[in-house]
Amino acid sequence: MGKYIFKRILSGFLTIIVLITCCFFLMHAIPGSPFSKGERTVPEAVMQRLNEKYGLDKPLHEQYFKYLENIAHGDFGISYKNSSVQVNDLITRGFPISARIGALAVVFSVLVGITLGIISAIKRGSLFDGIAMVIATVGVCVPLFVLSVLLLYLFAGVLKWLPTYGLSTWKHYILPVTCLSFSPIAYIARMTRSSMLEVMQQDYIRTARAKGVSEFLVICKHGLRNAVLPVVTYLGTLIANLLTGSFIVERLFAIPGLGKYFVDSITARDYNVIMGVTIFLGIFVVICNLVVDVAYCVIDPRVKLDD
Amino acid sequence: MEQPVDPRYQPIDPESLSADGIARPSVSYWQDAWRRFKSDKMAMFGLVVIVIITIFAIFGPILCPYGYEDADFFHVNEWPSREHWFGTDALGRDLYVRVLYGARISLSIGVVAALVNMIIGVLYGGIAGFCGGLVDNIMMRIVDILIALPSLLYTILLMMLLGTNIRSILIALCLSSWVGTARITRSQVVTLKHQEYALAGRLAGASSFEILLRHLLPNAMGPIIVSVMFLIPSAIFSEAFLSFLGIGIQKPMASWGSLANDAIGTLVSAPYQMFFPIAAISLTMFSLNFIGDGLRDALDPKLKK
Repeated sequence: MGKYIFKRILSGFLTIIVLITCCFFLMHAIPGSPFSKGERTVPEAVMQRLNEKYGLDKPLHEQYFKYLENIAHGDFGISYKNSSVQVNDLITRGFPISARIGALAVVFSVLVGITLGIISAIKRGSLFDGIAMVIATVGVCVPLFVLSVLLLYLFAGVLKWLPTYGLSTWKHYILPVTCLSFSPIAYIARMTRSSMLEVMQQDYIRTARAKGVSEFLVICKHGLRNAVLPVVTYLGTLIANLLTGSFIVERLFAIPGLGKYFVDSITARDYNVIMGVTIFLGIFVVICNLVVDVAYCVIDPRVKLDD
Repeated sequence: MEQPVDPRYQPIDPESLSADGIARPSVSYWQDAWRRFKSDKMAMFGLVVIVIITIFAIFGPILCPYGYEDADFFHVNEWPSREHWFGTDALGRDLYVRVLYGARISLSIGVVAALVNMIIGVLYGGIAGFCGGLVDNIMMRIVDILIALPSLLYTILLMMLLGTNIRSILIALCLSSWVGTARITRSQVVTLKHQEYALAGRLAGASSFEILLRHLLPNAMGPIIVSVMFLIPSAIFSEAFLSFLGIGIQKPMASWGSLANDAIGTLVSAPYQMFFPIAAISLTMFSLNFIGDGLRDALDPKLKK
């Protein structure tokens, strides 16, 4: 167990180093200095001063180690476009908002997905099963932005039940969270359904029934506990999906989260912000994956730890 | 004493027997797969839809009197009519033709990205699985590292370097999502390489590379094709995602994602501008996913649940 966790931490650490290195050299491979972009031409002397100020006149490897050192101290640098803005500020401002929506979406999709999956597995072949599986197919096939646009148009544009942008009341959370959760619900429902169908044919389920355990308890205590295990492995992917999904949802609903800042910085070609946010998101995903994997080993002792 | 012979138990004349003869023509793996695929109604439906969309994407713009960037300021934001089947956008451009051009871009990006990813992934995974040992270990650790992050992040980073145009989207998509195929190929090759025919090939003097290319990869093809089939919709999705965020296809070119992006502003006043691109992309995604599911059941019956 300890060895496995150590290995996972090591590979997570390597992932982050590779990401930082890729980001750094990709961003520096872009021709031109961060200040020479656009129509404004900067006088030579000013340019030199700017380069000196941000350390851009130093050799590349020195800049790289400096950047690594700064990140180790939790400093992602400043925005080159607007030097009063620090990347750390963007993260501390945007991340809590994104995280709140993301956490709600995780909870919502896990609850709804598992419920849908279990009911359709128990009532296999019924109308409910059919409808649930149609929803699951739609959720897997229809891209997030299509769904978001449709829901936005229907509930905010035509019916005017829900607000279109901002994040001030609980009503504002409904649409973004629903959009983000739709495709995870589909995946989780499919996954739970197939694993539940498999679990319900096991001998221990027959034993439980033979003992006279009520059907409700058989499903919840003996079936569900074993059927949700694959869902735990999906959580890591889910978090990564929500993260990229937040780029779309936060832009569409004008939510001032990290995803929106990220997309804005891409459109503005603000390389230091892109780099900082990418690395931050990368570290976040790696840590989430680590936690999920370790949790899975704790929950399911049957998992082999050696690979 | 001679037993009375029951006429039912007469010994058969061995000449009349042809036990070695094959009664029916033998069915190859691919014929069998095609037979299974044909019986899958959803998959066939998907195939027909994709063929129709492809035909329209190739020939539609030629038959249409408008070009994709022909602005007509007298017919701005018009609802669908006989002249403009899908209506016109804010610059009076015909949406029907723009959606068809979008189909060209989306479909070709999907197919090319999937093929390039397949080649990279198959070679990478094949070499890792075939060499085994340290090489395999190192190559697969690299894959573990790459797979740990969403591939869209890599795609965005590459796009920043290459600039935003169709060529750079293609390159970025080609380089960012081969890891899944590499993993599948590796696991296939690892299980196949100890089969007798690989040993026979080696005894006959074939080089390692020949065995990998001629014997192992063709036998591993089923699962690989299935994974590549799912790469097409995911590449189309990634392109639409990037274009929808405004960092993909640039104006005046149109893809389904960028058309949807353009239509956000006029969502309430001209919802048809949004409807046609997203209907097209949804239909394509459905069809490709159905084809993928059908192929999976056809090529890899063990996986069927």
